[in-house]
Amino acid sequence: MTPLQALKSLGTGSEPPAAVKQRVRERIAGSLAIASALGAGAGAAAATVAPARRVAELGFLASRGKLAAAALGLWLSGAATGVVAYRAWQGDAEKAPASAHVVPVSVAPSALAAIEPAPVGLAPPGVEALPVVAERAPRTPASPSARSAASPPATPAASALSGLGRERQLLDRAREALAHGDGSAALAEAAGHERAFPQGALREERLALQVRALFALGRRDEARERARAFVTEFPNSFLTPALESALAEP
Amino acid sequence: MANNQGGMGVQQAPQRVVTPTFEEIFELEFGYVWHALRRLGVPARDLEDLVQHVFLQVHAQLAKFDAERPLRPWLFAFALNAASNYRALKRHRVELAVVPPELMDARPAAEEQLILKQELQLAELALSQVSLDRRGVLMLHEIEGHGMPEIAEVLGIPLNTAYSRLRLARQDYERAVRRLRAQRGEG
Repeated sequence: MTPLQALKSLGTGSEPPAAVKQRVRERIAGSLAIASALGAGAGAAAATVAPARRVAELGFLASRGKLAAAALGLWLSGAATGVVAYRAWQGDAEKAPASAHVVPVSVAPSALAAIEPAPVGLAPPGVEALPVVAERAPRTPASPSARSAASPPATPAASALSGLGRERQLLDRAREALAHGDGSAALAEAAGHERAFPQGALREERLALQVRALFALGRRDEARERARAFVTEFPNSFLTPALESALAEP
Repeated sequence: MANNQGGMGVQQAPQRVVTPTFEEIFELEFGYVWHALRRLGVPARDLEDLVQHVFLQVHAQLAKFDAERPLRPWLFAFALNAASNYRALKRHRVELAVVPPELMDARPAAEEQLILKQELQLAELALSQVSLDRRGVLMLHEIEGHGMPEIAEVLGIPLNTAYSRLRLARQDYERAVRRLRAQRGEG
């Protein structure tokens, strides 16, 4: 085989781990949610933000399996236009990695459609239990007490991490709190990052998270103000196109 | 999924008339974008961030996609742009020069399999040593089989430049293969 033939036979690569795809899917949905929330009418804010958060969580949990009614499409199909259409996100029947920690979870499609709180764990008739990979197990310390603590942990393991690793850990906790609908905890974690790394490498990510958290808490004006500051400071950020189009709306 | 082409590794239909939805693109092309970024030098720990970045841009620009053109080169242009910007950040430079040692390892296998695997690993490694602009053209043409006019168009470069990059990329690549073989003691 000549070197060029070897190159030709490389192919475009196999599918990355399903858990990774899922995580990225959730993060994209979260980013687009800022734009949606920014673009929604003022009166609708309180009504849409909280359900949107719920949808994100459900979408994350549900889209792994063959559940047809996952409402994640709300964010991915232009909710900024004001059209609230729940679209089926028919995730491919991805196989969970064998090594991943798997917990049985079932979700009722009807609950998704109605955006009822906390259908996770319910087992309505006719809905099979779907295996769901525990979120971010490798990257997040499994310490529930750490979730609400605003100050950075002082464990030997944490201090051994590089600066960037520490930053990522703090922001992962903030993101996870937000994914669980806890905007206050997310803000607290983000504040912890701000104290420890005011000019850190992940500052941009933190600022974006803070905008999301403020929206989750219904602090809309603050969120918009911060979103504008973000767009000004990071005109080339990957978040900026979504934010700008949202800010452009009345 | 109206435009399901059957998943990864399958070439897009040449005459796509319906613009795919963002969800479809994400579902079908996540792996494609992932590996494109990886081969364009983004280290594993930052792949997630960059894939997210690319898909958000795809989302923002989807209205500009011409559905009659193949999807993958269009996606590739976002990936190449993201990888170039990533590399331009000074803090990322050091680690890009490091060659992951596991690429040179090989698990025990049937001899033929082993040789094939080593050849492919060598190809990946040599590819990683071609400069980014040339590598993009090389990947689109040699690995994915896209025509040069398509590649020039999607990368926004003159056709002559594209051909020139391809020629130089092949030279760089083959030189890298020779150098790596010599390092292994194969001569």
